[in-house]
Amino acid sequence: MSNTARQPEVIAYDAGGTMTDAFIVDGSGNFVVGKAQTTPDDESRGLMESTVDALGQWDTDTSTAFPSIVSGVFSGTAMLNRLLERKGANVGCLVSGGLEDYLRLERGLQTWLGMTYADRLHVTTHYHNEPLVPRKQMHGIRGRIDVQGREAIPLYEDDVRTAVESLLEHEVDGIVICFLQSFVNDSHEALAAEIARAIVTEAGRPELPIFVSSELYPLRGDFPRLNSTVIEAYAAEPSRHQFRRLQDAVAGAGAGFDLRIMAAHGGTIAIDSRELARTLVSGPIGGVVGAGHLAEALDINRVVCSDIGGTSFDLALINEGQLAIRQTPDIARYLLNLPMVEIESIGAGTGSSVRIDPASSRPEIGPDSAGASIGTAWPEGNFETVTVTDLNLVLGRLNHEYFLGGTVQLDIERARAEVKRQVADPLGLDLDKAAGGVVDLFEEQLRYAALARVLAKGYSPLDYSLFCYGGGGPLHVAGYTEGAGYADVLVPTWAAGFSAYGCACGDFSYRFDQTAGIAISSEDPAGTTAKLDQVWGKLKERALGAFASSGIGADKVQLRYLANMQYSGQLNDIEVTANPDNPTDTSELISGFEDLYSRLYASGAASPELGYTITSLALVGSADVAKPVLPDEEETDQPPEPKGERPVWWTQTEVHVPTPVYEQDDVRAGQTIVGPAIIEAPATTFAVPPGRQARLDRHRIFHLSETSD
Amino acid sequence: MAITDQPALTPLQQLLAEREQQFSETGSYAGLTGELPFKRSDPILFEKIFSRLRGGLVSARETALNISASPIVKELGELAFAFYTPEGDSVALSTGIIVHVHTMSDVIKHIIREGFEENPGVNPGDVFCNNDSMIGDVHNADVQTIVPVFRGEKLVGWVAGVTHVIEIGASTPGSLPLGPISRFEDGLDIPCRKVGANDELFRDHTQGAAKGTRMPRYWMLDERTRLAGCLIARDQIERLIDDIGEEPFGEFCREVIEDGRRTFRTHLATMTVPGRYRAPAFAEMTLGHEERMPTHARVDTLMHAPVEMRITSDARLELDFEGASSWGHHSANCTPSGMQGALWVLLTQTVLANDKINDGAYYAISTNFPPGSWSNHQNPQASTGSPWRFLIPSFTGLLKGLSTGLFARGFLEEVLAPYAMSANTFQGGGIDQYGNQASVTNFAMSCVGGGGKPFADGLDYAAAMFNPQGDMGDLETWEINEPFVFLGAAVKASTGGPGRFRGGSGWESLRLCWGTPFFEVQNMGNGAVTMQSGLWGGYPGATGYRHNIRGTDFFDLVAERAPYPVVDGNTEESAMLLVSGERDFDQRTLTMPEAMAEGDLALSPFRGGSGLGDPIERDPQSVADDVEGGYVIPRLADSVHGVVLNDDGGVDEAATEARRAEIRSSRESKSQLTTDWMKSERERILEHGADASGPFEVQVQRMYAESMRLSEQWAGEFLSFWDLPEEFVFQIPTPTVDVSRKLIAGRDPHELQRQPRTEVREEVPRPAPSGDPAVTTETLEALIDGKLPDHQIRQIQGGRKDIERFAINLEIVQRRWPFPEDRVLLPIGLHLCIVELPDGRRVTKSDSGFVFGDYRENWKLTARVRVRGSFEEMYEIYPEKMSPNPGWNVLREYYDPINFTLLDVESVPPGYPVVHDFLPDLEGFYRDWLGQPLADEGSVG
Repeated sequence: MSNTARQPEVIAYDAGGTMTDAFIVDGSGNFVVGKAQTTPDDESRGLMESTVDALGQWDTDTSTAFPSIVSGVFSGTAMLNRLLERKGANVGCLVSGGLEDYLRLERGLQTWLGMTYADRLHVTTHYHNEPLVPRKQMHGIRGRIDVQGREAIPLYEDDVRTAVESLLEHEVDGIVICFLQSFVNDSHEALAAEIARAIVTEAGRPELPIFVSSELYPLRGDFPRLNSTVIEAYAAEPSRHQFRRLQDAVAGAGAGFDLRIMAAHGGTIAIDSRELARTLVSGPIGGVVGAGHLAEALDINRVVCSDIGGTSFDLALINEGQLAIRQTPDIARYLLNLPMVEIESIGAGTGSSVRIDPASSRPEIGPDSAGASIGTAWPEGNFETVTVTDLNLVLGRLNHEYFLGGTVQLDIERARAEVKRQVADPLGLDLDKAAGGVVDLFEEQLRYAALARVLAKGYSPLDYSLFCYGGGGPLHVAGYTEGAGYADVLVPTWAAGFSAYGCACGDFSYRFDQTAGIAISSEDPAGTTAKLDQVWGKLKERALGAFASSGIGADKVQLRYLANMQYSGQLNDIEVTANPDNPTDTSELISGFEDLYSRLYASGAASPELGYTITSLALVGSADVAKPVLPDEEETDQPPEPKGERPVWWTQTEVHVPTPVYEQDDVRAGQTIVGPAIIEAPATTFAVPPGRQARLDRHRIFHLSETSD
Repeated sequence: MAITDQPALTPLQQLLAEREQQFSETGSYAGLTGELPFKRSDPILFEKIFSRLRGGLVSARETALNISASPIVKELGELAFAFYTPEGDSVALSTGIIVHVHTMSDVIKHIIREGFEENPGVNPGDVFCNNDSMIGDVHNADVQTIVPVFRGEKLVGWVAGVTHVIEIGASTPGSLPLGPISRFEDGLDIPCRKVGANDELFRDHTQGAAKGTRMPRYWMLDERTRLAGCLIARDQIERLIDDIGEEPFGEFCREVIEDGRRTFRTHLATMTVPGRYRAPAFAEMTLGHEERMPTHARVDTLMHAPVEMRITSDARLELDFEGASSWGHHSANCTPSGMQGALWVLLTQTVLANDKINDGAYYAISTNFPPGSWSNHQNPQASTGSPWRFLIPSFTGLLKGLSTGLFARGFLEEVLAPYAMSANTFQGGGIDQYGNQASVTNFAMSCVGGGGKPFADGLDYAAAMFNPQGDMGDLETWEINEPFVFLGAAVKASTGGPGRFRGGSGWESLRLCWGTPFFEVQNMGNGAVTMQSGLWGGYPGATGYRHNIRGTDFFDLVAERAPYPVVDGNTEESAMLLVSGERDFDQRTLTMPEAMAEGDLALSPFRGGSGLGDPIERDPQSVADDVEGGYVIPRLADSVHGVVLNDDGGVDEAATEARRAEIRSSRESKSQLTTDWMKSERERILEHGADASGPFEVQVQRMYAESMRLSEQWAGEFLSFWDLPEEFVFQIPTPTVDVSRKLIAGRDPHELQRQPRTEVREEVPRPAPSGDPAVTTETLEALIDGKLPDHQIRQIQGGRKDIERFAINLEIVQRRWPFPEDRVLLPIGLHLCIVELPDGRRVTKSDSGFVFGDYRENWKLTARVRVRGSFEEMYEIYPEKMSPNPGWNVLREYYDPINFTLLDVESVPPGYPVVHDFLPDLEGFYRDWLGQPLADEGSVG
């Protein structure tokens, strides 16, 4: 299909561990996905190869296409891998005197973060992270600011000098400064930074970066603040050079756009942003951002985003069009204070292993997974444990002759034998019933996990539409939405490339947070307003400054004001969006808070008699960028044509029944596929069980519903 | 209502009586013998319901904890929710303080037994509250909210939630008050009351409760946390019942409890060895010098926990505290409910972690907590304000026993030497930095050292016995609550017990009092006894100490920018000596609250876990690394490990080898045959005469006297072990024993124990071989040799435990055993096995070739023993001020008589009988558990 008239406008990259996807969108919203192997030593090669692959599908090349591209976004795992593989920079730290052991002690919870229910209880499995900064390069600086910002002990300036000199001897690549309570009063950190700056300049290293926690991540919580600042120096700063290399590569190929990076808060930021650790997690964010964009385009207010890959099931919520944010997320067993799109990851995906516990005859799914080895059906993968994929093959829901478009040869008989031996026999069930039962259990766990998120927000599933994407999503979506009662279930035909699509949808936006500790006083409303004005003013300055360095003027920036509030004395807070026209109106903030609170925690938990405190303020500034528009096809009234038929075992039938199989590309807008049916594409398979149907709308999104009769 | 002689049972009372009868008659929960029909016909649905039920409780917990103001709840997760059957048996529970899976069962059964259905009524929307340990709790600070779940008119279950509140209004501030000497000082007391209706709390309750604590805001928000969590969980459970129907749901609940019972037995049958395991533990209450106590409470107490664990031939667990010392006029007494709590918390961290957790296992366990002892005080007036002070030490014995069984079966990845005491804790109250009344218990104590493992050191500073998900929280969060600023928090050297694999390290934090006109602070720790023992030659972790300074020159130092201490560090070169003032630097670690003022310093040294294996077998490089990293003070590298370091900190290998040989030979000269030593120790015991005269200190004599007066059985064992005359007694008054005798006289022993009983014996569950063992010979050898990568170890730990393991391990041990003519029958330590000699005798033998004698005899009696009974000898192992006090606690080291390898260290009071750690039911094990009967003994040769 050649189309020389295409004008690529947006390009987005998702550089995963093995493959780099390039997602290119033209002016009419048509898109194409190019793939290449990720090249970890120099990501720009994989990036350009995937671009060439994508553009080739449109019969064009970079020199022709790049000049017309106005927006480019990158997301990747290199920074995270740098952290996981401990290949970061040589960092030195100045911490409050006596806390030199902080990275060894950690917080106890970092020894069990991210573990399964069983392992969290099972204390012998817990372990400490290897410190990112060697103990010798952790220097304590005497001096203390107290919880109210008063100076309890003045800064021992000589401690700073000795420490920085020692760090210079250790040839550090960067110096982190993080003192207790610096987010309340930054004077000690600022003074230490000034002294350090003078010493490194004198030593002939004026370019040596100094990372000051109160400048970068000024939020309460010394340990997550230290982690974030250390990771900024350790993993993010070295990545900046890599990002610049990517920028050089696209610029060299004729691009006029500045590559932006997907950040944890769900917007994209410039390569030169000061807080680059915000991009530590970017890939999984992309899918959620894409779902947000889709929701906006389709005018859907509340969405459950669900993504099934080989190893995990990721869930996120969109409420009132906004992505839910977690203030202190944990990433790779580190507690951070970088506000991040709240994604709950359950360690169960299509590659998860399936075992029957010998003591209790209980089926267990995951937490380990076959990864790229698929399962027992692929002998070359050397994975001896049955996986969810094996079960799907046994049931006929996956086509062993069309796995990844037929590029991988699978041994279905081996899968059958192993499922029988490892699963069916120990359960005392026949092969199909056991395979079907465990897939049901898998889907039930996903179904419940998704529902629990909705219910925990105080809503009903009827208030939400569910979006399904990821390579494994369409195969299980019918199962994990069955009977749940969502308003709608949407499966885009480009589900398998959704993360890269999502990156292309990212706003250019910055988010800045600051711990404030403002008690809302009814006696002095003007005083409260003034304090709010002051903090938001400071954040606004930072946001506009960040845009200005990308050449974007204040008139092009939209601002969103957020307040994290609590009943005075609580430790948790809730994010309330302020009225943009009058953000400091405290009565509006209070009613917004009360409304959310009663929804979250049942009305009996309301405690207005304690008064209200605004713990921290945030400000999100965003600027318009070009984004993909949705495909728009004429709907047809022709009936769909299957490409063939195969026996598939469905829970509803409890036997294999002849099931029509459709090629996804052949399905046209307006057509309804009535279950039982299988819709296949090279990268994904959509299972429509009996009693369900999928209608393809004009945007090439399937809507899964119950059959009307 | 008509008055009858026999009041009619309420419907719930009938149900409860029926369940108890069914259990007693069939040995199974709800009389479910044979196959479980629901699980059999639809194993998948069965699993689905469980995962949804547990998911609902977990998400209720995750949501509700955000309501609390208390760092204990919000940051450290000290809350849990559980679902119970109508008759009060737990079906599923969330993560959190799983201590309470059974305590709240006791409360619900109390509601039923006491006829609350009739008065005050049990209706939809009702809310009940309890914190009374006699009814079902550990101590007052654990407050429980209980909500019935109805379908229409019918009660279908209960949801209950518990939080550990930060302040309970006791006679001293905090949540672990160590001031109370009777329950009237334990603080706010809610002995199971209805406190709300229509999902709302009664105002008289909320107002009354708020007046009962020093921190009403925390109380109020915690109460709302519990109620909201219960309501969220209840909604989800109602939805679940709607989906599957009431009948099937009820059937599921009963089956899942019975399933839990069977699974627990299957685990025991797969992972342990039947037999008797003993591991006594001790704890101290040092109030003898506390002038603010009334005279009757101004005593030093040594708590005796003679822990005996039995795994029966039909794979049940019996836990027996027969011989425990008496309750006392202090706050560390326990109730059976609290003991059950501690038992649970330990089982769920070890053998039960990978499975369903509910009251099923409760029915597979039987316990003896002797009435009148500290473990079951039965005294309506006794305080239980801070029972963890005894619970934590005493349950080290259970862990030791389990580890011995796990090791014998080849599950090395699960073996742990005992954990550390959660101390010293910072607790106090007064006026905070905002000018408000405040009180604080710092729960950073949920991060202490774990025990050593047979292939690695213990987990450093990250968990506690009572909460595997330990966390110390952010210092900035604690500073909101305490009028103190932290000066530092650091690794504390030589806290972990030395061993071939050391105990996990402790840490310490130092605070500066700041911004308060008045705040009093209490020291809470152990300084006289180690609390825990080590495993197989590992030493227990160091004891605690206190170092606080009042009226300091701290700010003078600051004015001159002179260095001030940020932590204390090595006690032998204490950094806090930089500051002058009125100094408390000693091992009197339990004090009543004392006022502190701005500029004063308070230290919290947290303890380390115990070691495993002989310290002179530790890899010398690991010792060097520990010295370099501040985990061991340099002096002890030599005296404990025999490692000689160069000036640059590297290992001098030749000197180390020589030093270690020297240590072995000094062990020879300083030890004697155990039976010889026993003769002299017997003479010392006999020296005790009238009026507590004799070599043992008063608290030691009193401990023995209490145990002997409360338990004829224990007295008999003591007398017979030491071959003492029948009339021998420690002539010292034990006033609380007399009170106990009166209190329990004539009462039903069954009711005093409270646990349902059955006499029914069952077949040993014999799980089928998986055919595909989770761990191969190659992997297990790599684990034994310390060569398995950490991620693979974790995979094994979290993985399947299959029946094949025993054979795989035994083959390795046999292959490596230096005496191929022996048949190894059971490995029982790093160097010890029970073997069958060519002549057919079954003996305990070491890998040096020493035959200790018949395996049924205590091998220690034919070993060589050295008793460390002076501070000087203690300081070869521990830093000064961090060792046990030999008047309370000696260390007995048992050596291999051929090569003087250290095989075991007993940490016991003087005069304690030599502990017979493990008496396996070897024949029964081979015959009934393995199905491979041993030939008649002696018939082989």
